[in-house]
Amino acid sequence: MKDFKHAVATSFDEAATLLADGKSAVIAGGTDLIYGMKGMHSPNLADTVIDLKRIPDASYIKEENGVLKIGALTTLTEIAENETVLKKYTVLAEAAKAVASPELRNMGTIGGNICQKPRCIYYRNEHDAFPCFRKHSDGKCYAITGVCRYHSVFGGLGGCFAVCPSDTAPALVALGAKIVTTKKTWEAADFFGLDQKKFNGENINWIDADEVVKEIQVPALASGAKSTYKKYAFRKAIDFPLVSAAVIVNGSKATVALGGVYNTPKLFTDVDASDAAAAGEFCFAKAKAMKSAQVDNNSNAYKIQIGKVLVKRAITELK
Amino acid sequence: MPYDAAKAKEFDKKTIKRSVVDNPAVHDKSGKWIMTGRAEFAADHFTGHKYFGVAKLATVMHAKIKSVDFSEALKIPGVIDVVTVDEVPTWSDHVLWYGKEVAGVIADNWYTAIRATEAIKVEYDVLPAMFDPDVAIAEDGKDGTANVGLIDGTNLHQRTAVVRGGGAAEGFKNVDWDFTFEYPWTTSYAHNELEAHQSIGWWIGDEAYLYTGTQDPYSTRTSVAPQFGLPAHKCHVYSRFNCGGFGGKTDDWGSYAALAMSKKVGGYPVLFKNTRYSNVLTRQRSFSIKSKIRLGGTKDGKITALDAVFYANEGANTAAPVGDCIFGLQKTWNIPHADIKCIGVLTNAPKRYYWRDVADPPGGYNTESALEKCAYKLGMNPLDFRLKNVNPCDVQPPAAEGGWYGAHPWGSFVIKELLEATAEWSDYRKKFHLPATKKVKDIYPNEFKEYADWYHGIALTAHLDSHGGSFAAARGGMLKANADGTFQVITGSARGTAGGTTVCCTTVAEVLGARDEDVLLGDWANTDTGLNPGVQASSSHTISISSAFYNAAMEMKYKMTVMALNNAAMKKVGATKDDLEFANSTVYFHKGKADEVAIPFASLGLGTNTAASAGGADGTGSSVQNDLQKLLGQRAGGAWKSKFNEKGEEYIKKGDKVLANGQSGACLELAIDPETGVTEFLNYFLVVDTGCTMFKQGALREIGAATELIHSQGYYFGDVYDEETGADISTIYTEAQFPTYMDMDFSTHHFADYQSEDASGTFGCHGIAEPSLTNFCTVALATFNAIGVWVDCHKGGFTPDRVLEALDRGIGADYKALMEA
Ligand SMILES: Cc1cc2nc3c(=O)[nH]c(=O)nc-3n(C[C@H](O)[C@H](O)[C@H](O)COP(=O)(O)OP(=O)(O)OC[C@H]3O[C@@H](n4cnc5c(N)ncnc54)[C@H](O)[C@@H]3O)c2cc1C
Ligand code: SF4
Repeated sequence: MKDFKHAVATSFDEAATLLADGKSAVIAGGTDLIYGMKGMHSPNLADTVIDLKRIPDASYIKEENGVLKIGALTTLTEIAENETVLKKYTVLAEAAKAVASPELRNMGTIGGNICQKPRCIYYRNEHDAFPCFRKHSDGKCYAITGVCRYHSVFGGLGGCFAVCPSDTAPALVALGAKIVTTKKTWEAADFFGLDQKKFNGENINWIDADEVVKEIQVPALASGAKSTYKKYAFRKAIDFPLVSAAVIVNGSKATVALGGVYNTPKLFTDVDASDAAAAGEFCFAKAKAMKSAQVDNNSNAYKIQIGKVLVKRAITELK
Repeated sequence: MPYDAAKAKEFDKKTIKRSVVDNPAVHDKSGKWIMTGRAEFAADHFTGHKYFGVAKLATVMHAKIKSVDFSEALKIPGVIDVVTVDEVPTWSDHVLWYGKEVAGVIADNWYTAIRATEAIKVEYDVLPAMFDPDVAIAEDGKDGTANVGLIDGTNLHQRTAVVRGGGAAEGFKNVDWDFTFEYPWTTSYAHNELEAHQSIGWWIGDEAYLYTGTQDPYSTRTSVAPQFGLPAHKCHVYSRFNCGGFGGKTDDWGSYAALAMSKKVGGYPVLFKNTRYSNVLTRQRSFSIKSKIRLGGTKDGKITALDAVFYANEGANTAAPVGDCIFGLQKTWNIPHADIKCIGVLTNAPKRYYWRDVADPPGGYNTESALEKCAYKLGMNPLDFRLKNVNPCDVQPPAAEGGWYGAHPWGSFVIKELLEATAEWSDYRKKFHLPATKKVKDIYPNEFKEYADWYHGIALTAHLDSHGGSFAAARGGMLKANADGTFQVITGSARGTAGGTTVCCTTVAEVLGARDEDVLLGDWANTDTGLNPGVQASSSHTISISSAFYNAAMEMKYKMTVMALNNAAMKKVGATKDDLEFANSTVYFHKGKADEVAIPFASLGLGTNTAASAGGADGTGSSVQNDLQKLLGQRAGGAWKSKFNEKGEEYIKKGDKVLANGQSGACLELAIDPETGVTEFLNYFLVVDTGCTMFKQGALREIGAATELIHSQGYYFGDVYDEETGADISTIYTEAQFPTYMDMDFSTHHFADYQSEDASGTFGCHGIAEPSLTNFCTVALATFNAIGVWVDCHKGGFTPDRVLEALDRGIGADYKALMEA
């Protein structure tokens, strides 16, 4: 465990101010942050941890003027079980439910879920045993020559092939959510950097080091639209998405955001939903399995096949 | 206590029959310690009065250590001292795998010690490494090529070689068919045990003390003492609870480190404790096997010739027990002419050992795949093919091969029965089909609707397993009688799994006529009092440890009889020893007129009496077993079947040695989604020969655990290595690969015990869960039966990526190729 100091913030702005020293990190549920501290996988781990949990009124789910508003400290369990989310924003409830296990969902927050660090097996290796270039400017990518079974099938953003590990990220992107921080209101697509040509250090999003997520805003789905989240992981529980699909079908059109297949969620809008199998093919048309010196039967080609089927089954189910 | 006529009247002879055998009220004795949080693990001792030790691990797989710089580590506040590889037994400057210890830190806090290991700088002379076993085989003995450099400058060495009859040369002269099957490397894995390894070592004068998580404290003492130049009596090993043994709790690595570190700091207690990750890197794992098996035989499906070679990747462990991988093939099948070899392959992979995989499963896995393919080729139902070739129970392997472990005159061999019982229970014959021909809806029109269009697969296997031979070394037990009429069982065994220690208590209760609740668990693994203990709970040694307690209890009963007869009330009525009956923790005298005297044990004045007994020295355990079985036979209401052979002779006599190897049969039905490669278990039937079971609940629980392990092994376990560095990186991804109830539908697991007529232990000395694991091969065979392609799982389980890759060849492709070859 890395040694760290503990501070308490009583407002998001105070937390942002405390972050300004560049050596601190906020902690919400702690399910990702403490995991990293224990494994000491990065030289950039925080010296001070700033607790957000004492911030009043930061955990809520409400609908205002047709917009669903979720406080950053709302737990994944609360989202997964909320009747409004389940009924009207099903894809988000199902994505939250797909995270890890009951215990982790009880602790883990939506804010932490969209700010967690990558899960690449090399990046996460304890004691920084594989000093890759997500954490060292002079490092290298180990996955590209080594085990790439869990990695991207849409190429590597800036040369990194680690996938976006968050289950709620594709759901939020598909829903066209907004993310309100202490600095501004982001479109989910920009927050996760869908159009970026490089990665942002160890982050899976593009907020500044002294920026804190306050709220998630989700616009209502068009009337008649239906949504679902399909996930595949080797384990049925306590495992990150190897491939997932957040799908919204509205009449003959579908919006699909894929998870676990690229550094960011992969978004496809205006997908022809009339032929579900063709929609699956369409979303993965540009996908390509990784090959490395060490790959024989452990390439990540399976993600493409399973992903196509997830999209097909989701659309078939929603139609 | 004065004679109480009213109380005596309550006595009903029936209560004597209310024995602890098969009594559902008998619970795992140590379970309540765990459930109430009173169980003490090694690290729980010396709270606030110990230092913490951690090892720095190598990040290269083959090297010599050039230099180690401790200066920065020693500056960290809280660091007490450091150790070099020269100061800890078994550590060395020759790094043989990624994760081997290269230095150690002692600090006043565990986290400080971990951080300090990061500050140690190690320089290596990196040596050429051999990670891939196929390369190690190919390069062996070649001039100028690097080898692993472990023994004799060679990568390969012969482990076992068996020649039967005229060998393969003779056998294949006269066969109607002759097929060769090759199987690629099986996977290697280690379970992520719940308790990362922990040992506390301390010294008082020149005597060493250890609290450690070991399954076998006696062996720990035997191996630790000489490493520190101590006679055994100056080394004291205690192991109370250890959270899941799984075969991995036999490695004394942590004990050496704890004692060496404690010595460095003047004997003060040092807790040497792994992190979850260092546990993965340092612990032994199962070995992997590849094979080439040639079978030949007659038209009617009888195998008459065998030529088999198994290669076993032992990692960097020169003492890997890989030789047993041929056991199933050698002993289960009745093949007159055979050559069977096992060749060990040394590599710079982490050391391989048991890990609940014991020795046979990877070999059984290869063997069963060859048998299955052979049956298909001959157009026989695989079950009929096996029944045709399985050893009948009265046929022993030839004396040249040691028969059944030397001169054992009898042992249970019920593979045939297990095959038949499993087939009947699972309805295998009705459900069996040729590969890739049936969907789930064809077999189950009204069930498993969600998998209706998935492919249905089924396979059935049964084997003899090397695990659980009954002739284990001497074991001892100690029984203490307390003044309040209770007894304490001092097992010398570590609490590994439900049952092992419980059955010792049960044996005592049964022999003494004590109430189950009056027989308490005493200390574990106190080697100063436990004679020659070291029972691995519910494992092969159960037979002799329960025999030892049988002996101890008999001795105690004798003492109690003397005391009872000296009791005033007994003297008054003129009781003799034959008039006494021991039941419900009371001695009853009921000669003539019933129920004249009833003396609770508590009033016998047992006090501090102790009775110790060594049992099981090379077979005497089994002779005692015989007495115990008689007792069990009576008490279990005839559950114990005939002990007589066809001629009416008692076939297990006092002093006889018996075979009691593990035996199990299994049938797996699964469903495979051809689109995603996802597999689901539909039904898994596991039948295990438990011998005569005393603590049936414990035995069943163990068998149930085996179904979970097989399921886990099929889909979750499997090391993932970065082959360039030799680093095991598997557990980083999911933290632990241990699946939970959320991953498996346990309602698909069905398990039962089969009480064979053998001389096995009260718990059933067969190892119960462990032999079942050979049936892991059913996953491979049922998968083939479902989709007609072989899935290569040498880097892990039958995960969808591997299923999909095989399916690229087309549904049924490998089956077609097999039949055409
Ligand atoms: C075993 C295991 C399995 C998991 N499985 C999954 C899975 O299947 N799917 C999945 O999506 N995730 C998974 N996770 C990851 C993750 O822990 C959870 O998803 C959780 O939502 C994280 O939330 P938290 O509140 O605990 O975050 P924390 O651990 O508190 O924080 C995570 C990161 O986000 C930052 N952060 C937290 N809140 C904010 C905020 N408001 N503003 C800015 N930054 C913030 C922290 O500084 C930190 O860097 C798993 C984790 C574990 C340990
Ligand atoms: S994939 Fe990315 S995170 Fe993983 S080793 Fe390569 S650069 Fe590092």
